Formats: sequence, structure tokens, C-alpha cells
Amino acid sequence: MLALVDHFSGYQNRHVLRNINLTITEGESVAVVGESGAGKSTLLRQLYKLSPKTIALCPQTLGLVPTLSAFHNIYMGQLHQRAPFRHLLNLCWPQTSAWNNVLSIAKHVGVQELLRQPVSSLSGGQQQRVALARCLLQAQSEAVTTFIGDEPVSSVDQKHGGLLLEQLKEQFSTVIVAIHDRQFALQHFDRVIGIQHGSVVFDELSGNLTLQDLSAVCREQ
Amino acid sequence: MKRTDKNQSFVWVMLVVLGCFLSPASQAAETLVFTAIPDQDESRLRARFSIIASYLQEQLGVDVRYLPVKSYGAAVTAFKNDQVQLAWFGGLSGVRARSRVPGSSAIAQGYEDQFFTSYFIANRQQVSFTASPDIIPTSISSLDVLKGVTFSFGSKGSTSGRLMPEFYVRKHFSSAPNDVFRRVGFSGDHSRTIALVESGAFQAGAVNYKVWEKAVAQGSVDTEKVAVVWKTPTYPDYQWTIRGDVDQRFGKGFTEKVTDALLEMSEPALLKAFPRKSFVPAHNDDYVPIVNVAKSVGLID
Amino acid sequence: MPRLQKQETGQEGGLSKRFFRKIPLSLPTKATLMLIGVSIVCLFYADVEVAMTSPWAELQRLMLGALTPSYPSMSELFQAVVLTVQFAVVGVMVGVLFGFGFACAYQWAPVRWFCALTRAIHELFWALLLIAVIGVSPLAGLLAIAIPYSGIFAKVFYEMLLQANPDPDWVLKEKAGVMSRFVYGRLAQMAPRMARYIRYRLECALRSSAVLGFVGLPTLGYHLESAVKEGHYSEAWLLMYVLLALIGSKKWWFNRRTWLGLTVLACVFFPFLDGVSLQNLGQFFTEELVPSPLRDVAFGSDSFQSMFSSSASLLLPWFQMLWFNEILPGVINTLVLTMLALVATWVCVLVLLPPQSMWFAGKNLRFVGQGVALIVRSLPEIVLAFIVMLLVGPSMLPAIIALAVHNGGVISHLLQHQIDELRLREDHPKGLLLFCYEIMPRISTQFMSFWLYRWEVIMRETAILGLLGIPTLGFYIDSAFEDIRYDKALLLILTAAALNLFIEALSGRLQKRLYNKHR
Repeated sequence: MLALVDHFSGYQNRHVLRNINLTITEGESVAVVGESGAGKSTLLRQLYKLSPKTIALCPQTLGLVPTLSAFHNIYMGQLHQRAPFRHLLNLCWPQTSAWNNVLSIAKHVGVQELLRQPVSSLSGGQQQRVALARCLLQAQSEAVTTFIGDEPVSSVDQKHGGLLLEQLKEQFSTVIVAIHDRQFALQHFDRVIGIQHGSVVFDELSGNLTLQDLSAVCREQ
Repeated sequence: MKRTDKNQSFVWVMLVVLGCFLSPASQAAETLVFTAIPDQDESRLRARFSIIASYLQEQLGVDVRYLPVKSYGAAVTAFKNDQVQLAWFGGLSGVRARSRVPGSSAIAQGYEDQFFTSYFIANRQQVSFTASPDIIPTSISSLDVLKGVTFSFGSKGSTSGRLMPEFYVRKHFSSAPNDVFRRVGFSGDHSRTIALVESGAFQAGAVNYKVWEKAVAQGSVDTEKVAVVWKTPTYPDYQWTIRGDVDQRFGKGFTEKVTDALLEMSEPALLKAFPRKSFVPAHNDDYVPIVNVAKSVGLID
Repeated sequence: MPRLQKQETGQEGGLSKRFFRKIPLSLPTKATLMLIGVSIVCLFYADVEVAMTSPWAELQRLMLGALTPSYPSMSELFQAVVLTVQFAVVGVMVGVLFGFGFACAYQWAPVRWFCALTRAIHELFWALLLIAVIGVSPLAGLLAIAIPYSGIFAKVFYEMLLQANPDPDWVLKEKAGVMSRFVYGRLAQMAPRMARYIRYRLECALRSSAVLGFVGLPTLGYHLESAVKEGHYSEAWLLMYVLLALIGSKKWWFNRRTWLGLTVLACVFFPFLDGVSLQNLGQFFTEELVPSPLRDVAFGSDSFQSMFSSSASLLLPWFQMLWFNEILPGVINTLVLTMLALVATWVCVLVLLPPQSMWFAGKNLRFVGQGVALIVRSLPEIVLAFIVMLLVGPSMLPAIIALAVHNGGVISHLLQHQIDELRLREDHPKGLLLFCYEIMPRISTQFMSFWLYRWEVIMRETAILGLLGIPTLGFYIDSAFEDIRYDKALLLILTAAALNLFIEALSGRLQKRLYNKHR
């Protein structure tokens, strides 16, 4: 369970988040909507900080290492596990077991053909898939149960984006995603939180919301 | 705001203009400039030689200035370019300078320079030889113990730290230092040669005898660790050399005037700058042995 | 909920798949491995023996000096500080001025070659050459710094111009004049990097002020070199501390507010014409630079052909002797030493970098790490080499260590700024894994380009390590100057320059490939 109570954050006297009260329980899938600059990314970061050990994070900037191959970038999801020597070995010379493990994850997001390429040579959508695969790899650890993503499928087309989201929901018990596509938010998530100027404007089950409700915080682009 | 900017730039412009008038120092009167090779105690060169400059100025009645240089080569070049008219050279650098300036001559040398000598020193832990502080071996066969050691000369252009030691090494072993010794280095300075041999970084080296004796007297070298292996036969070394055209420029008989001033130097404070007991007359012919040695070693053509 | 299970034994196993698993190495990795390979080959030719030494007496004196810094004359010290700053500022600014001019014409091959030649020659040899040409004068010292620096600035500024984003310039095309397009489109982009680079060069110039000692100017470097040479360690350390303080406090006395004033002041009080004598100029070119066998030959009215054949028959033995006795061994030793020092530099960077960075070190460790880097990059290599030589005896080893530690300090300092500006994801790994997986791959291209640039620098610096008894090209050049044989010196300098150009072309080609790949 992740909970923020009367939460403020920001720097000096400029608050990015004001008076946030949120509780997200295990098993929920939550979409966070709002205009850019509303405070979505900050909210996600604050949520992540609550329990970094149990959460796989996919930031908007993806956090990929451009010079490393897709394999290594996905493999980095495992680095928190104790085996420093193995990790260093795999950096220089990938072992069969690690390779196969990464390959199986890569198949789920459709980048199995790209594993040997450096990430810098991949397209935006492919890079997002690699970053998602890195998170999916973390799901193998029992401790990691939550996924937090900041526009994780923004560069992927609607159909594949939906498939990827379903994958995430299958692998993580809790999924929290910032998203700008209103349709998408209503279709794939149980609960939608609307943010405007750093405050929560609505927080409802998606069944109780319409596209118009979302328009209030998220203008048509 | 804008006004102060303008004012500021005005001040700068004025400073630049002022500087242009001031910077080329006006030197109308003929000045005698002299230099000295940086053989030892380099850091005190200025202090040491500025008192010589004022002494000469007093004696000669012309402006005298000391021009410091940091390499033997630069000293010779300055002499050749007529930037200095008088120089305190070593044996080799003096020969080199005079061969490039026709008419120039050696006029005075230190009393000790008539029979200068170099010491071959070695680290006692690394080279086995018998040494006593009182009797310094003079038989050249003492050099035999140095075969195959690592060896450091002083500066590349030094007479006592390089030329004469190399000459005797070649003479005794009939081959070049590179073949006699396992490794040959150039420490660049006599005091540093001593430090390197004492630490064992080099097993042996060659030094100016005056620098060695000063180090022993001051206790800056541990004679338990380093000792003299052999002392070379004597040879002429340091000397004052003057350009041939000074008489034209400073008046007839100027060369003699300079020579006399140097020979009459008797104040201990002045002599300590070199350091020499006194000065005696010298002639170009005194340095024929150095010319021959330098030719045989291949340091001059 | 069916969670993904670890699949360690998939269908992908088998021998053929083992090959398939191999990930192509990135270019920086490949280049690094290649250079390490070459240096391992060099190791067989290198002279790296360790002598048994008992350096304690000397080291004790050295340490004692560190604790009891003193200087006999405060006014001399003050004068040294002022002169050092003055020379560094004027030298760098003259270099910037010419360097920028050359950078604008750098596409033109002759300009490129000219600049490469100017920076291929060590400041010290420029000083010795200039003394011979224009006499022992402050101007010779100034030019000895300004000439190679303008070559370096030209190259670096040109690269900055190339790396500037071309879009603003492109957008302005057809709409604005050449000048304004250049200023708004390119110069504005590179200005901060230029300023940073100039500040860094100033640091180098403060250090290379030792060169100016050769023209009799008592700068800090001049006194420092003498003091170390003669074993006056108390003085040497005080001078070191002053030099360190000067370099460490650079940002307070040389910044956007003061640079103009300082430059003007330094120029105003610079004795540009002191001691300049041009009377040797003609003789230098018509006599001193002529190969010695040809000097005394009277050609008379011989035909051109017989003149050519007779001079060739005179020159050939001279050249042959030089080739086998000095050029060839010099080139081999220089190359071997350079390669080994280069790889050792790489190791030093890896060791020196983490303690300086906020990713790996706490405040205290960072202070120590940055302090160590400051010291090793401020200490002249010759001083480092001397200290190491006391410990391990003379061979290539002290030279390798001195060059590596010094250049490692420089590169790690430059990289530290870059890695501290990196923005990583929240859940990045820590410690060694952070270093290997996140930091190193991200900075590898930059690291590589600094490192390859240092290749040439290291090669130039091998010149000054003659005291270790390693006959590099620089050693022979120094000897030729000491023997006042400018004909020989020139030939050797040109050889060294050619070698430097070769290395530069090689590293340039590597860098270009890295850069293109990276884009």
C-alpha cells in the first residue's frame, strides 16, 4: 500500500504538489492524467520514494544507457540482486542463463531481435520497450510488486501500447501510470486520478468517469 | 550604468596608451652585459652575480648588467648573438662560444680552474670497492669496478660532469659510456647526481670536485653511503671569456680594463660567488686540451 | 496471476547459440582493447627494471621540506608570482587570438598542417629555438608558450565549431550576413565551452612557466625547477604550495569579471622588446640550420647537377649516422614509452575518478580525491618523475608513472565535471555496478576523446625525461641544443613532429569514428 498524507513538495516557496492525499492499495491499476507541468512526474517520483525496494520505475527519460546494448539495458533490472561478480562478468561476456532470461522478457515486449544493438541506434518506441523490459525483469523478484511508469508507452502506437500495458498489469499486482491519452486511461485502468496545478482534482473509478470529465484536466491536443 | 562602463573603458584605454610609452625601456647608453653558466646553486644565481655586476660597474665606469640564463646552450647562444659581451663559462662551453665568435678570448680563470678535476663517485652498498676518505685513488684502473653499473653524468654540456669523465671512460674502457655502463643518465646538476647516487637510483656518477667537497663539508651527503672511486687528472676549466669587439664599442683598452678588474677581485664576498680563491690570467691556448678532448669525444666538430 | 519465471534453461542453448549471444563490442571498448594490446607488445621492448634503492634519506629530506616550507626572499617570491601570472595570461591570450584566427581557416589543409607542426614541438624546444633566433628575451619565452598554444587552440576551437549544432546557422542562412550568422549561430553556442577551455589552458600555462626560466625570467616554475634539482626541498615545497594555491584559486582571480582587466594590465607591463636582437637572424638560417657537412663546402660555379650529387654524397653518411644512432632508437623509445604511459594513464583515470565524484564519494572523501587530483595535475612531470626515480631507480618506469599520474589527474578532473552533471534514473545501481553499467558507458566516448588527445601530449612530454637515461627523441633533441647543433636539432624536431602528426592523424581518425558512431 502506498499512501501520501497532506503531502507538499517543491522547492523554496514554489509548490509543485499541494496537499495531496492519496492511498493506492495492492492490486489496483491507476492512471494519472493532467496537462504537462501539472505535477504528474513529481507525484510519481514521490510515490516511488515511499517504497523503492518494491517498485519498478520507468521514468519519462527512460534512464537507458545509450552506448550499452539492449541486452545490457534490460539486464540492468537485475543489478539490485546480490551477485556483483556475475554482473561484471555479464557486462563483458553475457552468460547463457542471463541471456536466455533476458531473451524471454524481450519476447514479451517484442525487442528480441534487437538485443545486440546499442540502445542509441533504436527508435523512440523501441527504446521505450527496452525500458519496459528492464522493469519486467525486476518483476521476477518476489519483492517487486508495483510498476510506476511516466508515459511509458507514449511513443508506441495505440494497439501495441495497449498490449504492453496489459503485459505490465499481468506481471505487477499494482500498476501506476501517468498518461496523456484520455481514452486509454478509461479503457485500461481501474482508477483515474486527475491532477491540475499540483492538486488532485478528481480521483474516481474509471467506470464512473466520462471523456468529458477528463477533459477538464487534460485538454485535447 | 552605461556611463560607468564608458568611464571604465576610458581608463583602460589610457592605461594601454600609457603602457605603450613606458614599456620599451630606453637604453641609449652602452651597457656591458654578462652571463654565467648555471652550473650549481642555480637558485642563487641572481643574488650571486648582481654583486659582481655592481663591482664591475664601479671598476669599469660603464653600466654593467647580469643576464641570467638557465642552460649552457642559452649562455653560449647569448654570447654568440652579442647579447652578452662577457661570460663566465665552463671549459667546454667556453671553447664552444669562442669557436663561434672570432676574436673572442679567454681572459681570466679561477685559481682552482688551472687544475680542476672530476670525481667518480659510487654507492658503497651497490658497488664493492675500498675507499677511504683521506686517500682518493688516482690510478685509472680504479674505474674497473664501475663496469656494468648504472651511471649518471651531470648536465649534458658540463665539462666536469660530462666531458672529462666521458673522455676518461672512453680512454680506459676503449668504448662509449653506453657500452661500458648498463644505463647512462644525465641528472642535469652536480648536486642531483650526488643525491641520485646516495639513494642508489644510480649506482655511480661523475661530479665536479668542488661541489662534492662542499657537500661533504656541509654534511649534506652521507659518506658512509657514497664515496669517491677515482679522481681524474687535472684539466683547465671555468674561465671568463670576452668578445673581441668590445674595444671598438667601449673604447680602446677595454679588454685589459676588464681583465684587470677581474684579476684584482679580492673581496671574499665577491669571490664566494664563484666560489674561487682568486683569479689568474688565462689564454685561449690554455684550453687546447679541452678542444682536443671534446673533439675526440665528438662533442664538437 | 502468472508471474514471469526466471528462464535459465531455454530453448536457445546449444553451441551455435553461444556465438549468437556475443554482443559486438562498442567502439570505445574496441579501441581501448586495441591500445592495451599494442602496449602489451611494447612491454616486451620496454626497459622497466626496478633498481634496489635506499631512498629513505632523500625521501626524509623531501618530507621534511613538505613540513617546513620556507623561502629566503619574500620579495623574490612575490615577483615570481606576479611574473608567472603575467606570462601565463599574456601567453594564453596571444594564443587564443591567433588560435581563433587559425580555427576559422582550419578546413584549409596548409593551415591545419602548420598548426599541427606548431603544437608538435614542445614548449621547451620552442624556447631554445627562439632564443637562437631572436635572442635571450622575454619575448622568446612568451612566443614559446603562445606559438604551440595557438596551434592547440586552433584545433580545439575548430572542433567546437564543428560540434556546435548547425541548425541555428542553417535557419539563419539566406537571411543574415556571414558575420552575424557566425556570431549568433555558432559562436554563441561555443562561448561557454571556449571560456572553460581557456581557463583550463591558463592552468597549463602557469605550469609551463618553467620554460620561461630558460630565457632568464624568474617565474615560479624557474625557481621550483632549480630548487628540486638542487635538493632545496623546503623552498621547493613552498613554491609548490604557492603554485597550487595559484591554480586552485584561479576561478577567483581569472573569471568573467576580471579577465579583461588582467589581460590589459599584463600586456601593458610586458617588456615586449627587452633583449630582442635580430642580428643573428640571417646567420641562423643561412648557416646554423644548414647540415654541418655542407656548411664549409664552396660550390663555386659547378653545374646544378654536380652540386646536387656532391652534396648528396656528403649528406648521406651524415644522415645515415644520425638515423642509426639517434633517430631510429629515439623513435622506438618514444613510441614504446608513449604507448605504455597512455595505457597507464587509463588505469590512473579509473582509480582517480571515483573518489572525486558525488556518485561514489562522500564530502570528505571527495575533498581528498579532488585534492590529490589537483596536486598530481599541478606538479610538473619532471618533479614526479624525480620522486618516483628515487624509489624505483632509473628506467622507463618512473617516466611511465609520472606521465600516467599527471595525465590521469588531468583527465579525471575533466571527467568529474561531466559525470556529476549526469542525470540518472531514480533506481540506478550503486558502487561498482553504477560505475561499470551507468557511468562508464555514458562517458566512454568523452573519456576516449580526452584520452586520445592526451596521446599526443604524452608523446611531447616524453621529451623532458632525459634525466632518467631513456633516450627518447626529446632526449636527443635536448642534446643537440646543448651541443648547439641546430642542424641536427631541426632534423630531430621535424622527426618528432612527423611522429606527432602521425599519432594525431591516428587518434583523429579514431575520434572521428567514435563521434560519428555516437551521433
